[in-house]
Amino acid sequence: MLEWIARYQRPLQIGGTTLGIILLLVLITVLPPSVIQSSIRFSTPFILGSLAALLASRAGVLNLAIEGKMLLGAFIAVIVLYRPDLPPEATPVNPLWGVLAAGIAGGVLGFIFAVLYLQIRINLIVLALALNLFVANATVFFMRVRFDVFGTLADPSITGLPTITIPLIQDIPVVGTVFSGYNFIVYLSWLMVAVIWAVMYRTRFGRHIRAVGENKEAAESVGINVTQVQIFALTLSGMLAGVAGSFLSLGVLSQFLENMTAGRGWIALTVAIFAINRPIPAFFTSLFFGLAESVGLYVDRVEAITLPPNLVQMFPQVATLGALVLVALRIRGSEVLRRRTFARDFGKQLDDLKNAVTGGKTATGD
Amino acid sequence: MKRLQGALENVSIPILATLLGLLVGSIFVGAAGVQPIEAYTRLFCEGFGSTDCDSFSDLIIVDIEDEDTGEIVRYFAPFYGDKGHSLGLGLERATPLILTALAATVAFKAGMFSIGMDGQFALGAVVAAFLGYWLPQQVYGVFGIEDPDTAGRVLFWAMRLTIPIIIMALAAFVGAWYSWIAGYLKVKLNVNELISTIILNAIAVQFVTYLLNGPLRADMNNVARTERIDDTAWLIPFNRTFLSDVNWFNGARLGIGLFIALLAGVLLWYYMWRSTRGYEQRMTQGSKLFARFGGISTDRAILRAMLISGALSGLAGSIQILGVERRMVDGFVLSGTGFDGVLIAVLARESIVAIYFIALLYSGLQLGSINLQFGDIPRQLGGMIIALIILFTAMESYFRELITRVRVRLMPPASPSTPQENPAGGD
Repeated sequence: MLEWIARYQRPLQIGGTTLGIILLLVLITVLPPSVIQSSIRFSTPFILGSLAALLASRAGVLNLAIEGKMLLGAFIAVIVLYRPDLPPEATPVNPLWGVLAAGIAGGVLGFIFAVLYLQIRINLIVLALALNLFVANATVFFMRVRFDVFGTLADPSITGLPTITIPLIQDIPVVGTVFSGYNFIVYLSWLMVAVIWAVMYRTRFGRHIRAVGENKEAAESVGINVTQVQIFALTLSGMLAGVAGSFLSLGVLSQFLENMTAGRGWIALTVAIFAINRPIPAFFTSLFFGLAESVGLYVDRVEAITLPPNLVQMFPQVATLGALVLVALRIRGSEVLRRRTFARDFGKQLDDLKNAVTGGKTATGD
Repeated sequence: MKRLQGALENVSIPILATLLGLLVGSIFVGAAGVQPIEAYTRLFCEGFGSTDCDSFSDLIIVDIEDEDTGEIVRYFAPFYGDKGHSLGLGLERATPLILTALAATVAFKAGMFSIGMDGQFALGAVVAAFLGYWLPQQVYGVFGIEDPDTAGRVLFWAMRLTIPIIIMALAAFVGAWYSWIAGYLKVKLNVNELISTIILNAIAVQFVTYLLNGPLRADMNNVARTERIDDTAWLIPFNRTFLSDVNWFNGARLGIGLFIALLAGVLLWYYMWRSTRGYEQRMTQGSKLFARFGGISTDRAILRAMLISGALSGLAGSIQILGVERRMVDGFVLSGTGFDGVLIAVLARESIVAIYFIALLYSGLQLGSINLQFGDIPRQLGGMIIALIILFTAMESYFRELITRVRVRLMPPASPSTPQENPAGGD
């Protein structure tokens, strides 16, 4: 089994990807366009969140605080726009400022996280769990203390991001519904996939990140400032997570709800794991997770289908566990394969040597 | 002497961290426009004091005027609760936390940073919620009893004694094997246990939510919930039975569950620190390779630790259902008891006695901040303070380093390791 997976890893990979793409295409044709659109919307926080997660993972830091950073982003984006005493005729603040502020706030939290982890040397996991706990409570605390509202922070002055329609593409039948008619952050997230890919594989900084994540000591020995690279990566990761959070508050509902990320940060982490920390697979995996979420809501609405939504949403999680096992099997398999090849080759050399010494005869004792 | 110093340090660091956490938390209290001291008095009185506690000293000693004689009587505060005491409620909340914290400790002590307690807790709870009404029904069915009230006394007591035990055992079993998955993946395939437990948590939460909204849903109540468990499966709180006239409980559903949790801690201590298998597990945490050279099967040790850890979390879930909630309501799985357990285990730094106290502190802070909400401060203050305390506790090594550095600067040690001005050399 192990060897088999290791030997055929390439075909397996290609087969799996093709199967996934076919499944995606079939679903796009079968499901109504509204579900496709909503699944792309659902996938946006996963795309940005998983980029944040993989950037940190690639720099050698498992970032479990994505959830908290997303929540902070969602909160900051809303409070920047919140003007309860704004007269109705005045124009509210442009929501893009909210997105920017969310990115900055996430970046600051990411920086603090990096400093606490790398300089003060707090245990990574404890730090992340404590930060998540703190942000989850602090957002609600300030919502009540500062704005005197319970549960939901909403106001006419908080306007959602406008929908962008792409002139030519929107008229094409299927492509139009899939690619046109989303807000700014959705397109930004697609752009960010390309940007992060380019940064990671085509720049010096990206090479340094990957080197640090691969082997810290080796990177240090060739003169890379490991701490600096990790701080940069974590700050960038925080910014992405902050923007992902702002999508939840400004891109969908134009309001902030208590604990509105609801575990999406953890799912984003899972997405990054599924994609083995590579940006482009992370994009498609996010689509898959977003699809599961929107299909979950869809089957709940449609009377004819009796498929429980929670099971639909559970499916990608189980798939991730399966992928995790497969990746581990592959690694273990190639190890076994390598060992066996080595043993064979070495055994052959040993035999040759033996033959050379004994002149072809086997050593029998005389 | 050295031992005393060590013990003192171990006690003083959490206390210092708590004080620092409260100090930083007071900034937020001040931002809310409330006197920090006043707010903290309320927080601690609501969390740890009796009903008429209104200063910090009332947490330890209360002076009560006797109504008949007019005499002033001194009481040790935790035992005084004529009008109710918060400690009862605190202990009720602390029970599952102790168990999940123990679960986390077992896993950590075998070198597995498993945070899967949340999922195991949810699974254990759902098992208890289902069996709690289903199992008694089956028993009644076998004996052909239509109405449970007409059941004979012998049968009733036989069921009352066995059914909770069976349910708790099954819940622990389910939790154990769910936790085993992460251990197996680690041992066989070297899958990071942190990642696999995160995913397993998500799967468990979704699955339990599905069960709750689907097959186990009892009625068309607004919030999905299961049927209430049968009386024979109920771990009856003490104040509903033989201690019904003790006001101290303040309505706390405190029962045999707390004693199970305490006993679990004692047994675990014996297992971890006084038995060969526990030693093997601790060795695995210390150094895997060294343990292996010593002839210890580290794989088995890890799997055993994960099984015990999962069993404890599952048990926690079942006790919460059987003893406190009596039915599972939507949102139960999001209570985060498992994560709280991880944090408590970290705060307690893997000491079992510390877990008892910190779990109580943790639940008391939560409880106190819930009641603070009636004032001007949101209950989220409790969570923020807990997070700060955790951060400060985790900074421990940094603080120690800082102290050493300052000490070295003030009194440079005259040790041989310091380079000397002119190297002593006879040649």
